[in-house]
Amino acid sequence: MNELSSHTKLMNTVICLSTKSYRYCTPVLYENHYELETIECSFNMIAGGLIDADIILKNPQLNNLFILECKAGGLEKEQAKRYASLVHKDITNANITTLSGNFSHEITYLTDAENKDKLILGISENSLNFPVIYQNKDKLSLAFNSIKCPTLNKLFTDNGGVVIPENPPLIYYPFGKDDSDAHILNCIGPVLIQLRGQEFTVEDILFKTHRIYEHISDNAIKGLKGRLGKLINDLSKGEMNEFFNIPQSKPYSLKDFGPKGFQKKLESYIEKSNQSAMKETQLSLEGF
Amino acid sequence: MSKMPQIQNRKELRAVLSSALEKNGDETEDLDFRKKLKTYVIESNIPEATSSSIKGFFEVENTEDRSLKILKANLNMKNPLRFYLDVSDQRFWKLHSLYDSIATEDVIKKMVEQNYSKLDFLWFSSNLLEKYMELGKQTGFGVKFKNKFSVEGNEEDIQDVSMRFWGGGAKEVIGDLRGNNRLVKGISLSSIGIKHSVEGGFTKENISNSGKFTVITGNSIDSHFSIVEKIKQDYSSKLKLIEEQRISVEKKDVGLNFKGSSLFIDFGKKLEDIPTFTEKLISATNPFRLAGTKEILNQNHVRVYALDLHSNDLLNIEITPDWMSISLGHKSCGNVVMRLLTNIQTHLTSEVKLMSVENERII
Repeated sequence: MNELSSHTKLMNTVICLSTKSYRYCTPVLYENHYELETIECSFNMIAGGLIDADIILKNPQLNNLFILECKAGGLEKEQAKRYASLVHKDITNANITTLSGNFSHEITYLTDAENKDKLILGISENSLNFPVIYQNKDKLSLAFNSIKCPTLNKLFTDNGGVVIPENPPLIYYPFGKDDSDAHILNCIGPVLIQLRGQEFTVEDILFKTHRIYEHISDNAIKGLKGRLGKLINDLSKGEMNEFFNIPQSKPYSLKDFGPKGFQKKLESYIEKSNQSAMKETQLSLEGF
Repeated sequence: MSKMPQIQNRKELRAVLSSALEKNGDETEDLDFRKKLKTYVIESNIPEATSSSIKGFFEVENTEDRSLKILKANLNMKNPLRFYLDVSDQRFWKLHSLYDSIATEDVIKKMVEQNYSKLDFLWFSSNLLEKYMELGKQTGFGVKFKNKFSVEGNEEDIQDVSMRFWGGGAKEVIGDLRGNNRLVKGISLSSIGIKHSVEGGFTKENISNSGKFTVITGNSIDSHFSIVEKIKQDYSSKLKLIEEQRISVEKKDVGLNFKGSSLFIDFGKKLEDIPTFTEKLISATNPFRLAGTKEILNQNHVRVYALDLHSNDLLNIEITPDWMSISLGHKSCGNVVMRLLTNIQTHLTSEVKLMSVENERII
């Protein structure tokens, strides 16, 4: 159950498609000049209201900004209304893109097969006209409305959409707050070995594991810090307690241990966490 | 064991090493101290060589020259060994030894291989060594391959190759060996021999794939200094290329700047047992010197979150049957890529290549 949440998987799939990831798939967004501009970006509109976009891609050739909102659930009405009222001046005023002049922008929702209908229903019911792309097995396909940029519209429509990798690389966005315990623990395991003999905060770990941590929105930071804090509390007070000291000045303190012993114990801890997650899934399926 | 002569500056270093070179092969010398000159180039992430910065039983003494040190190894308190340590290039130290190989290598291993030493060997893959053959007249080569990842029951797989060839036309012989379908996976060069010349003299050198330069014979210390420096500079340029690909995200005046990309080691053959390979890769032991965690995504794809036990730096790895990707952190030491490449070549298949994200061969 080293499972990625739908949000993390969709984020990394788009990053993969917009960077030179030829080993994983044909990066069609990159090939069509859509480059990564920013990830987890928040900014205020001139009239007030916070925009908190998951991924922003830019196409300098078409002078188009493609804003993607990854959703693993239904529509958040207030957020959608803010997106609907977003105008060109808000973007230039926020200084979030290197595109200049009279560039266009469009907002598209990205979701998984499970949440597609719920999201489309929310958009329709609120008389909004955002396009929806969803993960249809091994493709990203346009499911609702059309994308203004003809290149993108064609890409996500023709031949059932864009072929995506089963497991995209996680270079810029290794984990999110909704990923499994096992996945997050695997990501932070080497950092804990690196921090042996030191006191540390949750933020210290996030700086080392999340390459974009310094640049993401306050909301995203809050979510990550909360999730990681709980995981490290569980580690330090539970089965991995033998590797922790009583902290003096920071919230956590690790003993100066050898890598092999820690690695072995953490592996077994992650395995147990996996098994318990599998049991929970089984029980919820039986209940269903 | 005899002591190495005391030196205080580079002029005296040159005089001592020149004298040792002249005496090379003199059988009347104490056999325990054959004065075969050896230079080890060591990759360092230590800002300054001092007694406190080198872990273990070592002391660093200064000379009149700030960039020339005496490294005293107190492994045996009765007979501390003293080496000449040239730190004029902060990233690549040159350690000169006149002791026999066994004593010297014991010291070097203890210094370099301990966890978080921030020191590493240079790792010359076969094609780098072949390139270095062109710096002089070929006089031989060594091959060492030990399959550490053979799948049980696969008796057809090549297991162990060890050979040493002395003579001219070394490259041609290597080419012929590679022409054999069964042998080709095991033709991993462990050393080369070249006769290197400069104006007024020469040295015959044996250069190992871990950065050890042994002078077999010769009459010019300048030739030895020159070959060591040329190879060090070439290696440094490779490392620079690798480290330019370190992954980072920087804030620009407007937006973010995504820098760097993953590097790829193409195996040149199908990796049959990815879980076993992964276990050995992050076993926190030599030769890979990595610790970490793994996620088995499926039979053909594993993600590894690793810590380099040489530098204490983080890196991410993905392993598939055909290739592995390596993503270095924004400050990570790139020597780990050289270490992985050379040791995969020695223990899995000789046909590995280091590729860029644009699919261009780096090594």
